[in-house]
Amino acid sequence: MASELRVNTLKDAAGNNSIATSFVAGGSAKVWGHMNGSGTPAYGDSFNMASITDNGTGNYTQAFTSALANVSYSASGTNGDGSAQTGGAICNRSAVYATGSYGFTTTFTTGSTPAAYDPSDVSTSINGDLA
Amino acid sequence: MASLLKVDALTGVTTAGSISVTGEGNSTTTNLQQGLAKVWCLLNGTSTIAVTDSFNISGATDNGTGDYTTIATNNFGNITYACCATAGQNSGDQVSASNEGSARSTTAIRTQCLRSTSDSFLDCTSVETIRMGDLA
Repeated sequence: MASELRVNTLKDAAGNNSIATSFVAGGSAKVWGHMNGSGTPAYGDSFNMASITDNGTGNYTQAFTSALANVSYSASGTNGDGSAQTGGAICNRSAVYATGSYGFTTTFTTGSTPAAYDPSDVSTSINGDLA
Repeated sequence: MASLLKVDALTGVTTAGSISVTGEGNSTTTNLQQGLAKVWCLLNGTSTIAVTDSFNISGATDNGTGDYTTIATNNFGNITYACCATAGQNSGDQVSASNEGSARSTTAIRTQCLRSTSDSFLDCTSVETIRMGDLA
């Protein structure tokens, strides 16, 4: 039988390691995913991720299943290739993001020249308030 | 009325590994187990590398300049977990951190740190990783 527990604070049985349930909700990642961004982008695993759109080389939009409450959520990401890197790889938030989706670009820097590329190993995580 | 629950373990009723938590907006639920970071680590990657602080980390390996492997104590159920990494150096070099995809396992992931301006690996004072996914 499903059950609901309403509580403000959690502690272990010894009464230690106290944490407010607001930290449980606020501190949990609301969206995360690990995908292969080369070819047709595809997720290996994800949470609260509805789909991924390939907008072009090194440019993606992730759509969420449950929306965030606002666009001021914190997003982080890392990308890489399947072999040792020869240049810097960076995930940046793009101009296209909303409560239900997050756009980002991936670049690869050789020397001082950044260029868009499709990495095979992309991880993203989003923290914020659910709607 | 304020309430306090003292417990050592939380387990779902319908599915042991799935507990819903009401989100901040009071209308949407999120999954407790899925939203939790399963591994995080702050590593000092200079000189003899050292884990400064961590959760569910058993150790770290220095693979060479700017090249590290962090090892989880409790393993993931698969190798498709997400891992976000960032790195910094007190020298002021612009640094990027990448995960070396072919070196993933259910416990270990390899993170490499490079100067953004010269394509060279760099030992960093802070190498930070956080992993989300399914524990075994």
